[in-house]
Amino acid sequence: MGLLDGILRRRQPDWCRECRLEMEESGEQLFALPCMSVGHYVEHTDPEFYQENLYAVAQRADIPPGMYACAAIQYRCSGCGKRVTVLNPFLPVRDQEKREGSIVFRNGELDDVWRQ
Amino acid sequence: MKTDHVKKVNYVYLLAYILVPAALAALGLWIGYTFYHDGGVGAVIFDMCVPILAILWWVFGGRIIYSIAKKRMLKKLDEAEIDRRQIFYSDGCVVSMDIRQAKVAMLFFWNPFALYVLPAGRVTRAWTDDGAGGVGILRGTSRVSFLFEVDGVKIRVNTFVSNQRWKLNDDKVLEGISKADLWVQVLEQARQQGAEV
Repeated sequence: MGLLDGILRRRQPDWCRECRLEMEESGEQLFALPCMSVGHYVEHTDPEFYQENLYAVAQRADIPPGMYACAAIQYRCSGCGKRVTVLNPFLPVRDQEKREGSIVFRNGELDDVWRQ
Repeated sequence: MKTDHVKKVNYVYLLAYILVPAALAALGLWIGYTFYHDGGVGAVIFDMCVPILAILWWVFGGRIIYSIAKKRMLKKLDEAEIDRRQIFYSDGCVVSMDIRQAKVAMLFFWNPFALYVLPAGRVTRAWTDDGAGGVGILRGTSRVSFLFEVDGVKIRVNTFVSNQRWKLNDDKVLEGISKADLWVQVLEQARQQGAEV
């Protein structure tokens, strides 16, 4: 691994900074975010907000029009076992999506949400 | 608050809005020409200020009246204990929906003195118009709106308007479509509730 590669990888959410290993994807889940509606999206970086407001849904069709959703991916490091959750909030619009920025939680803050 | 047949345009107001400033400007020009033919302060007032005021009225007057009417609408809805948390402000119309009481309230830009509060059961249908047009790479839209019919009168409420054509997957357009779909769902829900009452 070159120096440049190392620097670039540090910014990737699926990269364990301690073990310097690529993490494995350990789960994917779609959540509804009922407190966020179209035109009223505000980015939150506080994990408590997501712990209180994310509701797991089985499929995209379960999300009503105008309500935001979150596609969550969890990564696990095979070396140290650390878990990282990446949230991708988006507004589902028919068969398309209006994407907002990704939010990364590197210290297992959202592990409780995965156990819902 | 009115409950009778919906009128989107008050033609007396519309004609007065256009013609009264025009008549005042013409009168000002006539007075300026007749009585202040040699110039002076009177000529400036009647030949310049009055026509400028007329133009300012055409540009801003309608918006000011509409803005005052919107504030009055909120006050009246509060007085009538109608839930107005579900409200949409558009350029030509304000729609408020009280799902619990199954009532829809409407205010129109060109009829700002009439606030309509109707049972949602009178809404016969609601749908979204994404305004898509063009072919190939030119396919896009410049207007997204939701429409509904009350007593056979079609009411269009714009959720996205532009003087350019935007691609259908643009964020602004998607947000407009989402707002329109949400309101169609709200109207349908209230309509069904109104039909049950």
